Amino acid sequence: MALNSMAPRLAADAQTFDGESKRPLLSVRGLTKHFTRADGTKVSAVDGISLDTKPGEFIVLLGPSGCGKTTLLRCIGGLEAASEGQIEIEDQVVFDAARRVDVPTRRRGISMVFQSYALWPNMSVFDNVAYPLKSKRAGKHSKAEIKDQVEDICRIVGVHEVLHQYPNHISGGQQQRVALARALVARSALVLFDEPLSNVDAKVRKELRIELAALQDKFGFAAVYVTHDQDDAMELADRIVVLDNGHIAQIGSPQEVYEHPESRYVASFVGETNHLTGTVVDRDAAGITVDTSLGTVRALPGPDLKVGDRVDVMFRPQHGKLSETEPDGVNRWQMRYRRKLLAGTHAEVIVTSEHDLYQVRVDADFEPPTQDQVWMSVDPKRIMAFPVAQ
Amino acid sequence: MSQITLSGGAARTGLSRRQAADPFSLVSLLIALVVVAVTVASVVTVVWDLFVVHGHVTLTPFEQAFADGNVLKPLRNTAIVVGLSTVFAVIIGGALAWFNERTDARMGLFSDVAPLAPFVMPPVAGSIGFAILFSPDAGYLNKAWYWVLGLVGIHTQHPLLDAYSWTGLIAVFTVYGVPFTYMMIAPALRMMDSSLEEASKVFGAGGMRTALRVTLPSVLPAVGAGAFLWIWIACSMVDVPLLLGTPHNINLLAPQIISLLTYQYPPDESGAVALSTIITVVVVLAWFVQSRILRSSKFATVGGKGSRTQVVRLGRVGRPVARIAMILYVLGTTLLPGLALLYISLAGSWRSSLTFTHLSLSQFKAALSDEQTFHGLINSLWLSLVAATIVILLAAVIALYVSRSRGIVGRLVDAGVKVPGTVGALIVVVGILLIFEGSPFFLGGTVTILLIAYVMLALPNASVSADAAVAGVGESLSEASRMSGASEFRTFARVVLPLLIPGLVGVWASVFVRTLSDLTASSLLAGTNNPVIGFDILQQSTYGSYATMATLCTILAIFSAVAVLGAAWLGRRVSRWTQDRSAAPVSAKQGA
Amino acid sequence: MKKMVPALAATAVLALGLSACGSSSGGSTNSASVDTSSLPALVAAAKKESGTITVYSQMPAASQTALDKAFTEKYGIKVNAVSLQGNTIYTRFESEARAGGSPADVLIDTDPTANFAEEQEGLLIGWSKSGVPPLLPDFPSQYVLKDYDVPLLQTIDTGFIYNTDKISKSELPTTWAELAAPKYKGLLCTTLPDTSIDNAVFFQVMLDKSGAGTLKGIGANIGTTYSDVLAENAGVGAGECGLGFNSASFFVQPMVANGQHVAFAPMPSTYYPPTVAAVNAKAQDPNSARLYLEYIESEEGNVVLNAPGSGSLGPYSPASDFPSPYAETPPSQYTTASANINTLMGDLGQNG
Repeated sequence: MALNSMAPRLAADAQTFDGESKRPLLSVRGLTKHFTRADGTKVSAVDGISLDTKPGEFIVLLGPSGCGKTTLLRCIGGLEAASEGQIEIEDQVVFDAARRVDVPTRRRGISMVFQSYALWPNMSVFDNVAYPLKSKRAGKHSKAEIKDQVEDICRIVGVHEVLHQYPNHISGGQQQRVALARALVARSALVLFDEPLSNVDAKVRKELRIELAALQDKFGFAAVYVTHDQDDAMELADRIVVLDNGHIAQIGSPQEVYEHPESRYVASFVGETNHLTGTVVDRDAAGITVDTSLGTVRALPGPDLKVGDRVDVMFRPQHGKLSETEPDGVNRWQMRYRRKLLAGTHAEVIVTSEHDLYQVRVDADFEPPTQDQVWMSVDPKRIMAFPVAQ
Repeated sequence: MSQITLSGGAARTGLSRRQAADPFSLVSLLIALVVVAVTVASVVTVVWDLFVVHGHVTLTPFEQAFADGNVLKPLRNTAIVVGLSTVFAVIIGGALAWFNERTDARMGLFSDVAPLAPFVMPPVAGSIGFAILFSPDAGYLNKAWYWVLGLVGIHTQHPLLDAYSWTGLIAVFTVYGVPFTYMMIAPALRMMDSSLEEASKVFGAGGMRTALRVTLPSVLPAVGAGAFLWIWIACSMVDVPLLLGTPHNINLLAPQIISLLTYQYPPDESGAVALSTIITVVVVLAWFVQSRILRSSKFATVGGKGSRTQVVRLGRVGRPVARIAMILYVLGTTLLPGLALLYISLAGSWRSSLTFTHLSLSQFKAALSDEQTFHGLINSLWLSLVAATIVILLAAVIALYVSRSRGIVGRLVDAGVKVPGTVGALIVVVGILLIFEGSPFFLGGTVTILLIAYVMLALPNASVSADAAVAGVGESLSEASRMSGASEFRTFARVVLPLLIPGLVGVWASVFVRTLSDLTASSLLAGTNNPVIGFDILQQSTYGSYATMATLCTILAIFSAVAVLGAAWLGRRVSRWTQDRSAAPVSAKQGA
Repeated sequence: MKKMVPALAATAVLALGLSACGSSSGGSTNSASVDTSSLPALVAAAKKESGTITVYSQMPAASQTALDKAFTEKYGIKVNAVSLQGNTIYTRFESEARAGGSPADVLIDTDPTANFAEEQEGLLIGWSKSGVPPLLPDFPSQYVLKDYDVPLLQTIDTGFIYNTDKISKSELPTTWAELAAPKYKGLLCTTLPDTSIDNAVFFQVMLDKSGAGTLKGIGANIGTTYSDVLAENAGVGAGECGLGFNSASFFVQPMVANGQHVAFAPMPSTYYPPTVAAVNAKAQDPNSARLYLEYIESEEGNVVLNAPGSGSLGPYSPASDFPSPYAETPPSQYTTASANINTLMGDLGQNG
């Protein structure tokens, strides 16, 4: 399916949810979930997390496996019970550990798209999508109404032609859309997504992301979306919540998180980075000087960094510049050119120093140097420096 | 696009405290508790007085039972016969399952029914059939064997197969074991995602290696369940070893226990129970192993993700060979003994030579015209139908509850449903008689008390199959249902139960057949007001003749065959939801 | 699928509901209203009762049915006969009594020690206390088993069943010791002492009369053993073995009529397994029960059961029909045999 072909359908009656309202749709407070391992040690999969979601907002929980994002999502959905904390959805307390409140999943008024789709193989696509309506949660519907709503959402999502087939007889992409249709048919205000695109290949992922964004625009639901893929996060999120071992490492818009990461963890997780460690040897009003294995690196002043601190120094490939002749600028180092990896619109060049390997982004038509010596330079404004975590 | 789906035991979340108060969970727990209470009560009622004398627990029955050393030989013999027959039953059952589910050797409905064929013949009848065929001197097939050899000048005393030998006994046990291993392994193979095997082949492994290193491990819990189930049933089998083991002195534990109860007066109940504890120990060990397998997450489940089955093509030689093997299997294990029984029904006795003159239907006419027999047959048929259905519903509900509960209650329920049954059917039925016959229930002489007994007798074994079936349904499907706003009742009825059916139809058929031919509950609870066919068989087994028994068993076999066929058909029909065998494999790159 | 579950559930509930009304087996003793002053009085009292009695019996169905038919024809009281084998008859009867009362009015069983034990426990009424003996003054006293206070109802003369293709009449032994001879090797078959108390007693008697040597010799010649006499008869008939012990002519006669190559012959010593009868102490129809007992032990009724030439013998069969005079097996013999089972099995070479 070509990009943008869905646009006419979706543009038609794009809704705006009442995003102006200040009250959060979803409110998570101090959520903690403990697990006890087989050997008796206690592990916190989710540790004291608080976050809010406004109506119509698209939140992405981003992090590697084991960071607690799925556990957090399942707690919000009521599929697991946290050990401490509270959860409110649409002003209703659905979970409060202290007061022993735990509203069952089916009464929380939310929908979910599962990683494995969880389509019921014994029911046709129509019946799968109609199921939430028939479960009478959203109020009683007549058969005709159900038929209309199901056909409607399936048409929008693009699975109308397989309406009467069984999940096992349709392709993976179609199954994914059916799962989506099922989640949207009851018009829940909050939809949870558990890595729904993780089983789909890159090209289809891009298409589905666009469609998903368009659907969210149209229906105006709030979304909590779990993924380990930063492209998902960057493209879909209104705000990204980067998780690290059960804690929130940073919350912010994609741009904030990308351009102003608050820690090495966030910087390296969102977007690519080149990484060094070093020690701060000088600090003045203009910036800090770090002694690294590459040489001296000059960066903007960081608030907590003092002389003598060990720091992680990072910069993004697209902020590196290569030249055959020695450039101006305080951050310049001589590197050995290794190879160029073409990526269609651009290329990545691998250069090495005595100790390490670095990636620099260049134009696709970049000419490799005649000798293998090349200079790499980075604007100090583009150097990110974080204290080394203790 | 297919993906390796690994979800399963470990992903099952416990219900939180508030959610556990859901009506369905409460009802499930209630049902489980009632069942456990009846099971435990019926056993304790009988066993209590044997082991608690004047308020003190006494172990004298154990000392006596084990002291005279008469236990070691039967114990050893039982271990050999049960152990070997389990191994063979797993191999044969697994092979049949593989042929039917993963290759193109399938022959439609026949392939589904063939491995379950021995169900059609209750062991009491089947063992007579095998004796008639393979008695070393008088068996018809052995006589044919001697004759054929004689034609080429060989005169030998060695029969083709001696039904009374170790080989014969293990073979017949294996025959009865295969349906159980098959009915556990086949649904698992059916629901397995073939991408696992495809991956194996991509990396260069051939068909056999793939089958052993990839297919088998991913259905290991089903194999474990089948083995466990059969071990349990085999340890308690009485009819086969009584008929086929006695002639050459191969004595097993279960007949010894029965003889303590049935042949001496006063019956040595305490001795019987003491010996039964051996079986209890074996069953508990096997159950422990199996539940460990179930709780690990290393196996494939139905995850609602859509899997493709790729069948292994066996080729022009392989396919007919496999099909012929299957046909021979049915022939040898069920058709031939069945025909032998039919023959002696028509001939009126086990004649020393096969003659086809003087065959008549007089035995059948006599049997069916007897009012008690006829009435008993009708009773047995619908009791078996109802009992089988109730059993699988109860087993499914309880298995689901146990699999979802994390705490001690679930484990206790699991144990309570399974363990008391190991003391033996007779004890359980006596207990039910004591509880339900008089006040306050007054169910003596009714079909209800028979129904209760049948359900209680069948439930322990059925729960094993139900556990495996439940483990094969991914919990995410239930979670999705809850997310959609459905109550737990609706989730059970619309999502869980339909997906359990393929794994449960075999059990249904097995319970139907066992109930139809039951002798134990019939002997203690049936009467003129509530006759059942088992009664007549018992009567014939002492004063009748093989021929009259064979007649009744042939009649039963016909109904059993219908039940097995029906169950197999239903199972296959329902399974089409979870597998699409006719679709071509979808390419990896999915367009929208 | 959706529709099936409720339908099946409804069927189950309906089935339960319909049959939930069970008969209450309350134990009414009614002993006060038993009238055995004379036969007509007993008949009158019986006719005032429910009109049906229940008999738990270990006899073959055909014999039981013939007997019951005659009784019903004479007195108009119906008989529900329930066939129970082995110890099941006692287990069931006792369990039902324990649960509140057994529906059985009369027990017809084959183990007089068991019968006596139940009488001791107050579950059955002994012959002498039933009130029936005065109604049958001509009942031959040697057929009252005094050690057990129970009358003989029926016995069979046990003997050999042999396959005429394998053994000729002239080859039949006249003493047990002869069966230890090598020419019988592999030809003998039997049910073992541990399969029934009667068998245990049989072998105990053989041991007592012929000695352990004979027993061992016979044991060495045994080709096949069976778990019950039905299997043994079938095996001999089919040619699995040549000579079987402890069969009865009423088993063999139908086989011969069916064209099988078998025949019946007397054994060197005969053991007469007794079938006895007793009334439930808490019978629901105590007068009918006693009337039944009276009938089956009277000459008129008993001869229906033990017709001349049928192979079964009773108190009114002529003495000449008994190969050796009928004698009651004393309790001590049961006890000894029962305790001695392991030795007997060992002597027969069967502890393998």
